[in-house]
Amino acid sequence: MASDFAVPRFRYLERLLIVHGHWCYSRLANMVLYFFYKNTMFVGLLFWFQFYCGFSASAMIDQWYLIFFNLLFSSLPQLVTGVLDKDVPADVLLAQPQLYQSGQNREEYRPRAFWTNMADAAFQSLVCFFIPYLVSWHLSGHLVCCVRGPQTQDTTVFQAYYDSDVDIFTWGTPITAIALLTFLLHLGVETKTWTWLNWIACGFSILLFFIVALIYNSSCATCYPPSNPYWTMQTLMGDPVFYLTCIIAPVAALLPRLFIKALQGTLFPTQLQLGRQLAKRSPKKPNIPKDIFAQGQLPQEQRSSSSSEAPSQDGTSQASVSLEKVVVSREHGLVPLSMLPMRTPSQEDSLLKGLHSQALRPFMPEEAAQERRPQDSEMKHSSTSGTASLPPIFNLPNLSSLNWISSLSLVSGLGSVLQFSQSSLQVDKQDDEFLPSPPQPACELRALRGQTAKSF
Amino acid sequence: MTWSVTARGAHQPDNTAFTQQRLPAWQPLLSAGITLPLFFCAGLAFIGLGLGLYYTSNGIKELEYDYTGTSGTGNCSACAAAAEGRAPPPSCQCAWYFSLSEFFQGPVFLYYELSNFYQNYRRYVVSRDNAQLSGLPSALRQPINECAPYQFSAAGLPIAPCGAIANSLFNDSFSLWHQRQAGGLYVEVPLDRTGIAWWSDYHVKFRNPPLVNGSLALAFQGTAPPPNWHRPVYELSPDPNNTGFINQDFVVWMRTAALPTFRKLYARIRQGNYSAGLPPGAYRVSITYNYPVGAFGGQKRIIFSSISWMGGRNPFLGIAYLVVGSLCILMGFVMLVVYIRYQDQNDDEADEE
Repeated sequence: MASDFAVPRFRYLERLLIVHGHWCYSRLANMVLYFFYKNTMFVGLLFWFQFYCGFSASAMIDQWYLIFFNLLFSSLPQLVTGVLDKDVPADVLLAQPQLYQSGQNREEYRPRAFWTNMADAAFQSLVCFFIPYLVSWHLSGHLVCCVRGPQTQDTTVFQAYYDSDVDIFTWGTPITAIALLTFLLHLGVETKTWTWLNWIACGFSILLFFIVALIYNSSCATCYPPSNPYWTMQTLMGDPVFYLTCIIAPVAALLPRLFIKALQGTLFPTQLQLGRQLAKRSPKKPNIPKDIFAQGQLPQEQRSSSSSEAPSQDGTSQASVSLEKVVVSREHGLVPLSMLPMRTPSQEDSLLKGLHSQALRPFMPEEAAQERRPQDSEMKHSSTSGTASLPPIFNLPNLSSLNWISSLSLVSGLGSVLQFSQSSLQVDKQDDEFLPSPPQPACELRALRGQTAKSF
Repeated sequence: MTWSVTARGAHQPDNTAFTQQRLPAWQPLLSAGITLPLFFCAGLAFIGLGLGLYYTSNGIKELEYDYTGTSGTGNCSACAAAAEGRAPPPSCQCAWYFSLSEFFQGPVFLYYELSNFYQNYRRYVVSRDNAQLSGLPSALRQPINECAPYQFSAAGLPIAPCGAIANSLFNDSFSLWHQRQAGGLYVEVPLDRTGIAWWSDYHVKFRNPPLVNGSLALAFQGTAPPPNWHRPVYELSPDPNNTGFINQDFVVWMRTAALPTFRKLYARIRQGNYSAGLPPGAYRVSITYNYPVGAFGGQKRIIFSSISWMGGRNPFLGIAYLVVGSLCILMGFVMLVVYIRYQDQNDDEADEE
């Protein structure tokens, strides 16, 4: 992985590292897992067939589909996801640099994640093989009906299954289609950002598969030994069982993954998922009633307030304000249920005092002091100085109320920030240093310097 | 040093939504709130579909008879015993008597089924010459190497059709007789032996070589039939449209089956009085037992089946849809419980404040 970057301004380093670095890691980890899954699952289909072809290395999938599958049919959607997928939006990443630690701790690509992925691939290949198999299998009569002699027989006896007069490649082509649909559905479960490019890539892949299959199956009746799939796809597309199998198999294959991911996202969300949920909830700011603003937390007042104010006092009032804001926003918000337990003010006080006892990283505020005054610099410095005190809380590994408390401090910080910001982090609010909010450009450099000097 | 936000540097990258990753996006969150409607809707749709498929499949009737004869009982066991150890096995006649108590709804299809026969074995699947089968005169007498050891006969003549698939052509034959009244005569039920192969196979993939002096036998002069065949390929049927490479039984057989237990269409019952189905009464199937399956432990069956829009009888599809639909609904309920519980937990904690 290339790691030589040139940035024209030093302040771009923050975005490069915290936003793009994190995205790069996340995309890389997820795409590597997806590639391994895709190939394992596809080969798994061929593997299960060996049990039914006398272990003769016969493949029920046409050789041209085997060649073109990874190249043509399933390459574009994963390319789009690997390039454009953003697991957490940029503003949340910049506001919560602790989230960068998911990359430092290699949280998204661990041996356990890899082997779980492989197990899922094996399960999906089982489902995608055996559903078409059982649809085409003939259970020859073991049961009541089979007449062994000149006996009369009741016609309503039936054990036999579907007419397995299907030939190899007419049976293998639905399996190929099912594999493609399963891959796309799996990618859909994994993709966290759906742009129009994603939709187009998925639709294009499916369309391309059918078009290539139709063209391939109508050219030259004898040119492609041994499969010679002449008119196979055309026949299949007129068969309702083909479509029914193509619907049931990918859904059955993806059910466990979808279910487990949904449960995990609700019950045991990771830090990144919490960040994502927060980003989803942030547009709820218009619902917050005005009287909360009247409690004296307006940016103009804050900006002029001296930084020598007792931080804990501000923090308490801040937290109480944000408690109500959180309550209001939660009434209007939907998804992140696990995020918002309420705390008692005394708990908050002790927490905030603990926050301020943390030593800040020494070199960052110095650079903050030395930097000039373009807008982004303040944003960066205040956020780094402000959030440097949060990491210890935010890093709590296990799910507990403490985890939710830290997320609440995240909420309390963000809630006061995001209610004023529109889409970027150019927030005009000057809060205490533990709030990850950038101050108003230009004017606050002096105040910022005072702050950072104070925090040493 | 001043820096202006409006000046554009020479090497500044494009500021489009795509290059700056600002494309508008939908960001779904996989949590209870999103997946609940998904699970319930999918579950209900699948259960509905599954019920429809299951009841459709239940309406399809099948009747089958194992006539291998290895079990020692039944009419054809004498044929099986006679066939053992002798190659080629002697032709033998046996019969299956059955009676229908109710009307067997048509259109009725007659299949033969083989089990433990691996038509999907790789060396078997490649053992054919498609150019020869498509009637190319140049390929007729130069079968490809993949056909070996069924490429040239013992006398050195090219085998037409070459390959193991053609050599193992199924050669049992059946005829169906209906006894209208008890103790009466058996009347033959006409079996339609045409239209059993794919249209594209019969008209495009398989063509006879060009006739020589109007005779197909002369077109095949200089070739030999496969070793296991009793008669040459141009004598497979008296019907000139159904002999040679385009013989429909041959074409059906050359479409190699996917699984070791497979059935192939033998005839359709759709002529005369029986086009609507088989009326009740006593029936007899006269079987010409030619095909030896004892050597590999295979079994032979004959099957009568009615056909619907979803092919033959296939309860598995309905059951699969029902199972997956039920699983979806079950998972939906679990997610609902989780959702409600965490909603309550959040409400309780809010109330404590």
